[in-house]
Amino acid sequence: MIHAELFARFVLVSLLAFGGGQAALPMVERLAVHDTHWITASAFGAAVAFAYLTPGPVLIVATFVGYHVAGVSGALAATLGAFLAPCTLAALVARQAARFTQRPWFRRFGTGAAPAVMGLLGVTTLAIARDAVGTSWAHLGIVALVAGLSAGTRLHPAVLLILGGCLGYLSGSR
Amino acid sequence: MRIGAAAFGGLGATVALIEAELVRRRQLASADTITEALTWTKPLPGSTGVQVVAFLGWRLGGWTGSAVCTVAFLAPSIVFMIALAYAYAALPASPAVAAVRRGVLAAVVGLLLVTTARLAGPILVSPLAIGVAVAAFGLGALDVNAAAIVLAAGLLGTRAPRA
Repeated sequence: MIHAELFARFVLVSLLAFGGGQAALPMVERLAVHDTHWITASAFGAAVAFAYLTPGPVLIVATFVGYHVAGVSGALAATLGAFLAPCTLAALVARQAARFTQRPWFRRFGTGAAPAVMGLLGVTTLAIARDAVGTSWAHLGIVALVAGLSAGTRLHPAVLLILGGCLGYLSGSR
Repeated sequence: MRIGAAAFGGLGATVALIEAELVRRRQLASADTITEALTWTKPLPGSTGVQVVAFLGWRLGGWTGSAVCTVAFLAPSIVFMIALAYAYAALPASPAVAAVRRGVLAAVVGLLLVTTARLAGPILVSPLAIGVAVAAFGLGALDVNAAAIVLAAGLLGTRAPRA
């Protein structure tokens, strides 16, 4: 059943997201675009854009994926999967006065897994770039401009996304 | 918890809002508790912002408190996202829409590049960590299962001489 699969796969994603919510993005992309072809890389890129635009955590892309696979009930199943395990862990930690996260093996597991997540984030960025941006110089220019502005100023991501959309419109209409 | 509705802009904004609401206005929690929540939830996998909320919720009202706070925190995002997902599916396939979409996606790529660099800064500090990241990138590009890569890297970490 598709709802159970959505739920289970997002539980897995959330448990491997060492390094915060953004660390989950490559896992979601591998899962929803590459492994299952639930959505296209472009749609995933749009979901990431929406996640930056909406309040709350970036892992809310799960809601987008779930909606596209199985409508509103799919969205709820995927969202529950993405947040149930991390939040249960957090509540457990609150209860146990946090002994668990101090265990050396758990720390080392996280330290080992985090760089792998970085490498996969690179793969994900490339996958979106290949599908959506291609080799157009205008779009590579937008990539460079947004990256520069994001690194060098304190502009909100939403502003940069809107800027990208406007520039895309201008470059497409010529 | 109205905080979810206003928590634009990721973890920093979320924590600042929680602090303003719970500590200064309602006096439900102390600043120390929030620091504690951040410290303990950071090493856990998953979105840290929600986990801070779940942690504080548990301190305020046990499992029920935790569940109520988490759902309240996420609900606005979920509603927004379903609306946007619906709107995205309903977009007409006109050239103008496609042009805007490509521009936004190019901006997403730019943002992700910077995100990768920012996250990588404190993580890629040893030759081993850099090696693992490069290996994960290569294996990922070669279609090796992503979950397997992260699990293998984590196990490698538990075997490494020091954390």
